[in-house]
Amino acid sequence: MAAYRRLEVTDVGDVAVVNFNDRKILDEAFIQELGQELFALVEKDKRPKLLLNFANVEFLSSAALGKLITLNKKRKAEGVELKLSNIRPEIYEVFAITKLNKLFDIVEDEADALAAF
Amino acid sequence: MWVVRSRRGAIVELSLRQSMTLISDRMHRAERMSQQQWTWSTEDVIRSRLGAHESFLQQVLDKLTAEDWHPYHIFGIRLALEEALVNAVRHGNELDEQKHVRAVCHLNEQRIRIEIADQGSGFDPTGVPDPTTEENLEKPCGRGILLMRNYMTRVDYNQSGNRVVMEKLRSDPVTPSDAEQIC
Repeated sequence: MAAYRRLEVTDVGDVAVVNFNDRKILDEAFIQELGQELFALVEKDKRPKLLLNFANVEFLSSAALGKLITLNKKRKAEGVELKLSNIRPEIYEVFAITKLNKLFDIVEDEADALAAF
Repeated sequence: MWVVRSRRGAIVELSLRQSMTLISDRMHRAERMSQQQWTWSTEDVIRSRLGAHESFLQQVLDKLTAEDWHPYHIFGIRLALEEALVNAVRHGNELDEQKHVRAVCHLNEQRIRIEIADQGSGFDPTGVPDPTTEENLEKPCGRGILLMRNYMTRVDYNQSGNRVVMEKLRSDPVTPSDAEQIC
């Protein structure tokens, strides 16, 4: 298994639960690294189910959204299931404004997400 | 060519040059009308390197916090400012460290105004595709300006597109506007 710097990955059954180490996903170099780590989960580690838990995330920019969109394309190509959970209201609004709440399967919390896979 | 009504009520046809002059006059008038008395201002000349805008951004956020602006407004202003500065450095000046970004912030009890100017050749903000349409939803770019427009009260670019002026009114609502409920 690869070592992650921007992510904390925990296995719950066949679901890889991903927490973000950074409260603010802003720094371009960090976002680049974050993207690589997320893509590796799908393309290298071949995780069949991914849950991104946003509980830690207080702030993100459009550059971070761009990485999530690319991740979504890659996971579709690999047939990986993806859900997002624990998004605080102000971050959810960013998803709603950009209509990305239509693109991603967003679930209230981690337990709901795990039950829904 | 433009057709306008004169002050005496007559219909007048304007040449392209006259139209441009009229538009420019109206923009200057709007600018004058929105002139404010500011109680605090700060200005910075930022090198075109990613992350170089941090101290300006922090200075503005610290001031808004000290002035007790609502956290929801601070969140939105921060996001808009972050997007505008990254756009200026990355897309405007194309990360050319010989070029700079000039950032100005004015504040008073009612509003904040931010001006960001880069030394790039500019762009046409109306030509940026809408990232929320079905065919663009999966493209990873183009969301910065959309977020700026949503979180600020007004966002205006100059004609060449290398200077943006954004304002936020403190009296704007403080609850997420069009965010839908989860589930």
